[in-house]
Amino acid sequence: MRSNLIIRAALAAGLASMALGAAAEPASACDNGVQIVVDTMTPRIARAERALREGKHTLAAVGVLQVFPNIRQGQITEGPLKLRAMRLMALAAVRTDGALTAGKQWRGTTAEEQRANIEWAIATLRGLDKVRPNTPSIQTDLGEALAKDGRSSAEALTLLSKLADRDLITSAEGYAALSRLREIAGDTAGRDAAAKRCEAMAKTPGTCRAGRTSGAAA
Amino acid sequence: MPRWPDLWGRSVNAMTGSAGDGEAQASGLRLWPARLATAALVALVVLVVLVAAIGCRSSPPEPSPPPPAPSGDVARGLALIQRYECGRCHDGAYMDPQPRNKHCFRCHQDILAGRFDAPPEAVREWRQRVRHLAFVPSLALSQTHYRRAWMERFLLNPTDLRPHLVPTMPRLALSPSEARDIATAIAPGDEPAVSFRGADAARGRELLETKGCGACHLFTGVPQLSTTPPSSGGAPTAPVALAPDLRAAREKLRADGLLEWLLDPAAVKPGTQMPDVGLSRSEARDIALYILTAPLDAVKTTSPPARLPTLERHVTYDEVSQRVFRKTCWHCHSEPDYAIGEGGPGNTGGFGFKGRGLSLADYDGVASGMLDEHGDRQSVFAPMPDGTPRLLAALLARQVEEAGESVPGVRGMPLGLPALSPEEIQLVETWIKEGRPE
Repeated sequence: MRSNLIIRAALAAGLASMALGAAAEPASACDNGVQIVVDTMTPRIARAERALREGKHTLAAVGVLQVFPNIRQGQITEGPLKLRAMRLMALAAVRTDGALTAGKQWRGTTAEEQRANIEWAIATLRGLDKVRPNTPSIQTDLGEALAKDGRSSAEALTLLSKLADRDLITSAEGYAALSRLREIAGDTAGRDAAAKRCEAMAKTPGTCRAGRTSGAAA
Repeated sequence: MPRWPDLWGRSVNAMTGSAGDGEAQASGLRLWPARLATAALVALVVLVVLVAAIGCRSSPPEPSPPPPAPSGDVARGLALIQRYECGRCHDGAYMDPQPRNKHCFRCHQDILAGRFDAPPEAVREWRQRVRHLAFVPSLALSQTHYRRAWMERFLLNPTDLRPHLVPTMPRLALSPSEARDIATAIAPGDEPAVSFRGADAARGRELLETKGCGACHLFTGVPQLSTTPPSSGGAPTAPVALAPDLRAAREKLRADGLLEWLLDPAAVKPGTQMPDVGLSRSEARDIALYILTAPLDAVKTTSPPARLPTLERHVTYDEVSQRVFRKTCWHCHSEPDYAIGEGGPGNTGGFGFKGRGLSLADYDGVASGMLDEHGDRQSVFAPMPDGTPRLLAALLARQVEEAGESVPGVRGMPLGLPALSPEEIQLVETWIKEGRPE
């Protein structure tokens, strides 16, 4: 069972860290030197998700990298927690317009780096959509990411419009992206309707202000 | 001398029975023994009739077994028990034991018993929340004690049998024939007639008092027992939580099973919470007769609580999640990624329900809606024909179910748990009306 594998892996990590003199967390050591360490990966990813929802994109990304430092090379088939982490990283990249700088593998200073981050996000979200089809949250995120790439605006508009018709857009950012796309398309009524939904849903101020597309725009 | 007609219609002297002349007087005197005998016979007949009439009025009616219920198919019933996953809650001989992540009560039981592997501070916090969710009746008595017809009705329209037990039997998507098959598998036996001749229901009532049965059992519909279960400021103990309202016994239980149970509960069901109060056979018969035949007041009809207006203040998802979704709903509508693939009956499927893909564990999950019958996603906020958002309609329907009715086409939520309070529904409704702010 997965829980047994996690406990065994954690136990091995705990024993290794004890050998190095490091304090293991969160359980305190028993006198006989054997300790069971509860899985810390899951709560860390959960905290990173909370940070993302609160608009703390870089903090969310750092949290993910602490658990999965090589997530940029991660495969979509690597298990549910990794999938969630990859989605988080993709959103952090999208919501910083690609200007995500964290660790060695994530640089977002130049236009080229920002474009690369957005492209990674889009590719990751497309992969997630294939693995988990018919999931509005992933489709919303993909639509949001595609809206950042000027070359994919039409696809983003179609995707987000279909979700909006069924009241299945799952984030304020998704509605913000839809509002922007409708404005570009000249649909002012649609733009306003989407903006209104964004404002009703948004947790953090500024979420609904129309954002620019990234340097990846054609 | 007044003259009476004798029994043969002849006029005779009233004192002597004489016919009026000497020979007649003599013959009348000879008729006296016959007349006396006749009068005595008549008096005896009248007396017997009177005694029978009075005796009939004072003897209580004997409970009689209902006519045999139509049988279903035992093999199909056993297969349905697996399909509807009765073992998620009930332990019993004819269902596979469910693993912990599918058992509705095992985690709570392990937490309370100190068997759950988790940080101590987490366990301490959880213990407070799961006190009311640790007990579930087993079906160990069903084969010999339950009436099949009652079981069939109960499966289709569950009622609250245990007023002190928070969870209740969920309303599953059973067809009438499936209910019959399950009932036949669980309660297959024919019920023998049991005579309660000589039993005294009034004494049975006294025994319920003196033996302290009211310390655990309610018996709604009869004058209240002097001892009552303690009002639970905290969670009820196991005996109180599992003690059924005795009102339902006459429909639910076989008379022979009830007697056996009263005489030696542990022999019938080892480990039972029901104590052996040391009844003689005669006392058990008296109690059983009272339980099965005491006149009952009509069930008081209740109405669903009044719906509260939406709040004037701002309501965020975090508040709704803390007070409603993550308190109650996510037990069945969980996130599989965080629950090792098991999203609960309301998400990945269970209790015979297809997976509906509805997670109420986080904002994304709620906003992602659920799968309809065709496998397409639909919003849980989509309006019903009367304009009520679907999610809200399900919460309101549970209140209707608790009042003894049902809403066609809408299964009340939370399944198998008490309806949300009017204040909790008000919170959800306000949040929806505000546009579901994160």
